[in-house]
Amino acid sequence: MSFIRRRRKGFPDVPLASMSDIAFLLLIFFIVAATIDVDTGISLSLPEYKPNEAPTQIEKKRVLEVRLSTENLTLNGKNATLAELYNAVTTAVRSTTDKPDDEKPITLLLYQGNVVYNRYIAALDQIKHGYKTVQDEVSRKKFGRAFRSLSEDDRETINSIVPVYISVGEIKNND
Amino acid sequence: MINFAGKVRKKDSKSGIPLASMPDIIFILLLFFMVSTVLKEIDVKVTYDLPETVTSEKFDNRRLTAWLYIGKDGKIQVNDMVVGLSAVKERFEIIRSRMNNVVVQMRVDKNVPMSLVESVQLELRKAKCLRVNYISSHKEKDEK
Repeated sequence: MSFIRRRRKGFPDVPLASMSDIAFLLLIFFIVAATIDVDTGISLSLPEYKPNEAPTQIEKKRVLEVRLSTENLTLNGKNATLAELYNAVTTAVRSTTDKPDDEKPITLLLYQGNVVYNRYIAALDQIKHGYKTVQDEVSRKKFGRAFRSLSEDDRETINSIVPVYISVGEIKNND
Repeated sequence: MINFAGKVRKKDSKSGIPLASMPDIIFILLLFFMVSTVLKEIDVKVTYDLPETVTSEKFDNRRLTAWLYIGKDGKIQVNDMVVGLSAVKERFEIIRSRMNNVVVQMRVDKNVPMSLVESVQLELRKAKCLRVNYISSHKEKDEK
């Protein structure tokens, strides 16, 4: 056993200089991690109110007519599911991307008054989803990026290639 | 305590919690709460369950916004007030006189019949508030 003197040091100091760095990192972490409550949903522009307005005539082949009742959903007169609605919208929009503006499809969503809001939103959601899918495809082809990462100007370009024409309305009794 | 050399060890007074960074920590807490607090929240007097959607745009434009709620029992609330259907137009005319390009955030209960939503929308159109957003909760994936 050798008698070497062992110096015992006190408790090692915590370096204080880096404390503020750690604090800043925490701050940044919380800012990134905190989700500030942002509303999400579907936007829609209502038509202007003009009493006794004569209905606008649109070419039949442009129109994708969706009718909602409490029991079923019809697409151009045929029964369909929500998935089929999505597919039909996507196909119709995709096939007209290089057509002039007055040949682009218009989706007409008609509902009966007793249909619940949830059902209406579900159908509207699928229609919007269809348009969004094609907008995204065109955006990737043209700019190589997803639609939502585009600049304002580029979005405008996509919106003129794939305009979202959705019209909604209630089915009145005499329809 | 006596060590090998026989010296009495001094108690180290430096091992306390460092206080120098305390202001930093307090500052961070302050900033955190400032960021996460929403300043003006409307007192909601109706109950509702939102529908779920796959597509959801984000709306963070809080300045040009008016809120419209339709509750489970068909009660209508415009901003802070519960109103009847006949007063909706008047309320929105007042709102529009202050904000010309107002966006109406609609929070409507899932099970409200569309005839009610339609008549509220008709009032909105009469008041020339044409931009509406249907607020929904986001559904991650399509269940099909």
